[in-house]
Amino acid sequence: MTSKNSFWASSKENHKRRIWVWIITVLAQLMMYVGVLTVYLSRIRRWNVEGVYRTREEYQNALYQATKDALAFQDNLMPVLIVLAVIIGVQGFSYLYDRKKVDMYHSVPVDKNKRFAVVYINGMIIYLTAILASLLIGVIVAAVQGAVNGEVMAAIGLGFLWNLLFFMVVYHTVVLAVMLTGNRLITLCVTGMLIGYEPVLYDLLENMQYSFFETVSGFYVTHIPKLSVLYDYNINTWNLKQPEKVAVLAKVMLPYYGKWFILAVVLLIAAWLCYRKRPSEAAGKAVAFVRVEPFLKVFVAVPIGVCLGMWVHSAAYGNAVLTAVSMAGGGVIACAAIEVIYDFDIKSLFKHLVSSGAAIAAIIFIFLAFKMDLFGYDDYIPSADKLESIAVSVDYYGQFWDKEYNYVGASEFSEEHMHLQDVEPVLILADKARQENVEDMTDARIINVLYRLSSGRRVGRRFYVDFDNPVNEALMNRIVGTKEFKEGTYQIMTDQDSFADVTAMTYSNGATNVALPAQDAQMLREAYVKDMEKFDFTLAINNRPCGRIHMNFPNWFGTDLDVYDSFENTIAYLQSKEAYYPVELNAEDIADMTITNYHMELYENGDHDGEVDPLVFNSAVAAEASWVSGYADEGDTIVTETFTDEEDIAQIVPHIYPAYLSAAWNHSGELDDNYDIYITFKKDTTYPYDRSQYGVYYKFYTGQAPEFVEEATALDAGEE
Amino acid sequence: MIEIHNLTKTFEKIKAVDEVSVTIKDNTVFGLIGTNGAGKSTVLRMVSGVLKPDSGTVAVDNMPVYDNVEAKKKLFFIADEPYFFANANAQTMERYYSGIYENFNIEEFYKYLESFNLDKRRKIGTFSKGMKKQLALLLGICAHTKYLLCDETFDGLDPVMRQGIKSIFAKEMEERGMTPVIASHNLRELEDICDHVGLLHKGGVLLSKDLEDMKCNIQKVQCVFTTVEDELKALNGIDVIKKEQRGSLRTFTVRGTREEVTARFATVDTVFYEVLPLSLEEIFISETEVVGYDIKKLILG
Repeated sequence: MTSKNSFWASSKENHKRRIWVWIITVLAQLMMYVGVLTVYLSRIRRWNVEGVYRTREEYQNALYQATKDALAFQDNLMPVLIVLAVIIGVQGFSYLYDRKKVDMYHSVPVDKNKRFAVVYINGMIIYLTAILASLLIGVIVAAVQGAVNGEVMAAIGLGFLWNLLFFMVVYHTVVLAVMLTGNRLITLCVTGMLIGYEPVLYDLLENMQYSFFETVSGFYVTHIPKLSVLYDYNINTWNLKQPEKVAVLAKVMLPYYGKWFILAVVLLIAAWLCYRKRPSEAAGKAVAFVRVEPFLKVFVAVPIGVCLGMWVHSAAYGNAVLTAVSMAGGGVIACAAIEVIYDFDIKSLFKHLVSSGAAIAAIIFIFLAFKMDLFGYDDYIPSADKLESIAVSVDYYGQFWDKEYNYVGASEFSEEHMHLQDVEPVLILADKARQENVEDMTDARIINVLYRLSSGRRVGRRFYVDFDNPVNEALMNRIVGTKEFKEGTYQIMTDQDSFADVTAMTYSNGATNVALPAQDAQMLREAYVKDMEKFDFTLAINNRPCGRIHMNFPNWFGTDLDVYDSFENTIAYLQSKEAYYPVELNAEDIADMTITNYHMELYENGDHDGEVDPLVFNSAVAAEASWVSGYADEGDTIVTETFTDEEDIAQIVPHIYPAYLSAAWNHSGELDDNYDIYITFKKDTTYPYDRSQYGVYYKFYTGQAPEFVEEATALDAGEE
Repeated sequence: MIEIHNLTKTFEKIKAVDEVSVTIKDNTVFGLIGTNGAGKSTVLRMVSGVLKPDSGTVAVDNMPVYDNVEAKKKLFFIADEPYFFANANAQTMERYYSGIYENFNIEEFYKYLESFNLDKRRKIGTFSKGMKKQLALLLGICAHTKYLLCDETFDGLDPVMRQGIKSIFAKEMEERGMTPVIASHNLRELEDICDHVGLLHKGGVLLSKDLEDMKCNIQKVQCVFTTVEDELKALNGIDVIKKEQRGSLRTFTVRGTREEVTARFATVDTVFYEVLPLSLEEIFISETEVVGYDIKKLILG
């Protein structure tokens, strides 16, 4: 028999007052697990009937994946978990908001710690019972339909732990918020603040850096929220849904489990300490601890003011005065609003001017720090002796994957694989960029750099390098020509294993599409890696690829390998397979060439005198083209002419280059965006052009469009 | 015994209780009187362990009460607006309190409920204010704690119910030495219940005395003296608190026992004299006037 005053007796009593929370939690979990599972499985069955799945195994795998998607890692679960954590946490400790309830609960002979434990544990019991019951029913439903195996069960276990820890962190945050406040509405605000403060701060910081600084690297992201479960959950749930082995998933998730568990424990201890210290008279007040009020005000008002200022900054095209005024104004409004909330009294608008002043001062300081770059963000270049290594990214963003064929971002790959030890050329280029004006560069390109400092700190920056500058060419060769650079830029340089898994290979010179035997992938890789030894900056900017090898890997991954004329080993292999064709076409194989002249000169000579950032030249051109194209819908600026005469074609062929092979490295102005050339090959030709395409798309080298083409596509050509 | 020593509590710069020191003896009915805002509820909330004093101490049977389960086991606090669970009935509340107070007398509770015509299954939310106070009192009495702290609990009870509760108090005090502490803003509410009264004003204690002591040591004498000399002789050495005169009729409020005062007036030549008992109200008026307060304004309205 349980003692009258035992933990379980108290727990039972407490549950009697939480029946509606039980009902909501159980229904929500049943809907999210069993309901969603039922929908997923029925969808898979319908697709099977419709013949979507080619084999029994494919259908079976879809069933397993559906069960995993519903019961292990679900995209839509996060908001539900947050709402449940808020309901369970707030309802459990809601007596603290009401003086009448506090008078009763705090006068009865029940140990304070025991009461906290009872309410807290009951909250966990409600959640755990609901989720376990829902999962059990879900597993039974899935098992009946043959959609469960050991792997699925293990994934469900991992997912359960993932969601449980997430719930615990949010639940503990809510409990802490309840302890810090005396009113439901304020609790919700503080919960939102505690959960979202870090990601919002990071977003704000990033936004300000992009707005005020020029050297912000969007490629190497060095600022990510470290304690935000929202961020972690959002970023990872999609990855976790991928059809991977559970052991792999567990490895990925383990650090998060550890981090979240520690976070949950810390939050719970903080909540308990606040509970111990919380005065009973806090019931009904906005903030439970008067001493916290000024700090809370500053912490909330500063980001609000800065946010408002940044919104105005973007709306007012970077007007500094308006930005500063709106930031400070936003801070004043936020401080006043917070004071009103504290006292629930409109007359309190301008109370506690010292803390309001501190908030405004902080806002102004932040504005000045960014506007005047007080901390030298844009001037930052570490000294060589403080650097451990550097990673550099130059204009190349391929597709990357890991051993399990999970997606890996280009920056992530570069960060992991590139460790340049010769840091001097990078530092010299960074210093030159600091001193040079981008407007004076003839071919300015962005270089993203990740400085790895000996202290363990990582700093990402970007700067401009003029690819046309011979001094830079020498420096760039010292970067691009290194083994470290190639290993951090091209997966083929280090990844031998994947090439055993190549599912298909083709070679194209821009017009052709010749299949290569997939089993030769390793051999081809070796040839290519050997040729890549010669690859450096000079080769990359002075040569256009003569062809491209495309390889398919499992899980829809693929890679393109540019082939240059000097890649003799690769070309030898291609020739041995009769796959190699020169980049210049043979005029006899071509039936016709349809050339479109966009007449961009109309726009370039127009009102818009082109304050175009050379770094965004391509997009600017594209924008212009689209503008012209829009204008052309009215039918007066785009002129298209089809050339069928063999002589005409023979004259055009030496001056064109396949758009497919447009390389990132080359001079941006080398191909003429004013013209599009569509080539149709003769039906009876033996030339292995890509027959899956309607036409093959080419460009003129800049300034090499023959005169007769210009005349034929001139605006007044039709009138003559 | 509840010992309150130099108790102080401030809410947002407002001193609700200022250095209050009072001793509540066992087995007496202690009345805590004061105007609204005098600090009665705050004192009771500190005594019951709800609020933590800023300074000073509260000891229940020599145990500090704040955060002390053992001390709290000895008392039951009925707030001015007692809280009952949503949709609860008397039975629900009994189950809750009987789970907390080890000596809760369930049988007695239902017996009292019946005596007071309170339906145990009726939702408390449908009870009148007076019925809720009765229920709270019955729960408090049946919890069988040594101290029962009632904050304005008697205000609004009809005379029949008041009498009923009074008899239960008397019974419980006799049987198990219960000590009720009753806070009220109305002196007349407490007159027939309390043994000891503490008067609070603006957070401080104006006086704290046994009612019997007060009644025994203060007398009202109506008298007509034969001569002025007789008057001077009679009053010589007597502590006169208040003196009124209507024609030749003198009315004195004096300190001393009835016997002492009667003996003194018997020694002088009077046309007539009579020693009269004082109501609690009159005693308070006299006592507080001495320390410079107008009690009529404070608690009698």
